[in-house]
Amino acid sequence: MKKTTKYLMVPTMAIFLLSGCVEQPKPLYSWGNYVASTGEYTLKGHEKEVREKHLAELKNIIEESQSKDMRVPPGIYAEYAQVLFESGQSSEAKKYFLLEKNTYPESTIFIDRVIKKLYGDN
Amino acid sequence: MSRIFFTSSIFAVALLLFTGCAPKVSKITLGDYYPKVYASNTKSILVLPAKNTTTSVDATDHFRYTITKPLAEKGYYVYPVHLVDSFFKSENLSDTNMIHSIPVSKLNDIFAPDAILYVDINSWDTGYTVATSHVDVGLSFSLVDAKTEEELWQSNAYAYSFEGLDGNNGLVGILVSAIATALNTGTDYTKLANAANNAGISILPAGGYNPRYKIDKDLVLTFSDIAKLEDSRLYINEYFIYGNKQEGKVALTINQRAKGYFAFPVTNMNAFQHNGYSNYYITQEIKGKKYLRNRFFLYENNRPFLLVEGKKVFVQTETDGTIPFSEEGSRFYFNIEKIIELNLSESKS
Repeated sequence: MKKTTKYLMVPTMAIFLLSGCVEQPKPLYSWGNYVASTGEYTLKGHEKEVREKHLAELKNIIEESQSKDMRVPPGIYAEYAQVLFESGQSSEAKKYFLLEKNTYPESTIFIDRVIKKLYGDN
Repeated sequence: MSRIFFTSSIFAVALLLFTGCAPKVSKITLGDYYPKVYASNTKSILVLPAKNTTTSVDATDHFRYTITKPLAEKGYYVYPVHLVDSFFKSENLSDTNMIHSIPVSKLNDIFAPDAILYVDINSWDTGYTVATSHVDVGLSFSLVDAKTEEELWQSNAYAYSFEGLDGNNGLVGILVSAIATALNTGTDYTKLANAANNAGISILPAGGYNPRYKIDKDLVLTFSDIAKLEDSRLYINEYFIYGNKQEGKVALTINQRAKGYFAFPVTNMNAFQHNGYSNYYITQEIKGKKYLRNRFFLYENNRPFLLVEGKKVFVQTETDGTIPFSEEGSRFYFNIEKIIELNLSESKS
């Protein structure tokens, strides 16, 4: 059975319910396989293998964004940092928490709070 | 507009559109539809875990991790959901109801977002026949300004997955679809949640990281009118009032399904199986207060309205938020509270 994924209903439905929003704008970010990977991490993040796979995917998103000269998507540095921390690489993790903050200053208050919680005051 | 018209299939409706017997449509700009978003300069959004107000869904996680991408692509900074959840957990907050009732001012202290997005899963239906299986889900989104605590934007979305037999799959196909529904496989829910979130967010104005920020206020949306203004009353068809007249709780399901995963913002309840608007109230909690809302209406300043003839027509409610209808002969109507005329208010026939 072949499945199709569409975010809007068949064209006739779209006309009937809502039109004007159907054009697909150019993506702002490069997401790789983020949704599937973070989904697996959500459900099975306690498994080392799943964590490592997710780390590799997040690293891939970061590198691909950088190579395309695109901004790394919101939250990706922080998620990478979090999974690194959970994998015991706490000093490497801190670098990426700071990168989240530098890339998205909106996150400063929250990230500072997280850093304080995880690393203490130093 | 007769009831027969509304209960006929989507395709028949489409046919009517093209043959000239089209229903009236309302055109409205995104700026007029959601004026508060444009006045707010929202650039960062804290998404709280989806709250499940149905009895049967156990897929709330899927709705959580699939929301970041569409919101970020809209141009918003989205607080990293896993880190937010871990933070809540470290504060002994893992219950969604508890998280949803945290005062906005407190969330503002911790995260300092421009706005907070509340997601409610409020309709869920799953089942299968010998030849098909489906999962249908209804969602409500509410974006609240973190400083003023005003609701900036709300949207209802609906998504379904539908699997039917391909002509020659025979008995194997039957077993496969029955098992797929019974097991509630993770892949399905990811696709379903992803589609639902994308649809819900699709009519959110663009945020600061999107080149269309503020520019998209002139985008024109077209909706088919489901009511009629006459003698200072808002006339509505019988299907809106009574639906399919089934007893008990009827989950919202689309009249006609296609195979695959589909989702869209909900503005026209006539496309759905339901048993009348008065059976679809939901309680929404915003800034610590509970509001009774009806899923068939849109809300602005916590007042229900329908888009009719290019106007926002607000209807009268009881003090508890319920929306009474009146009957005159065989016609049904709502009493009007006020009408907001919009720039593009000419209606096309």
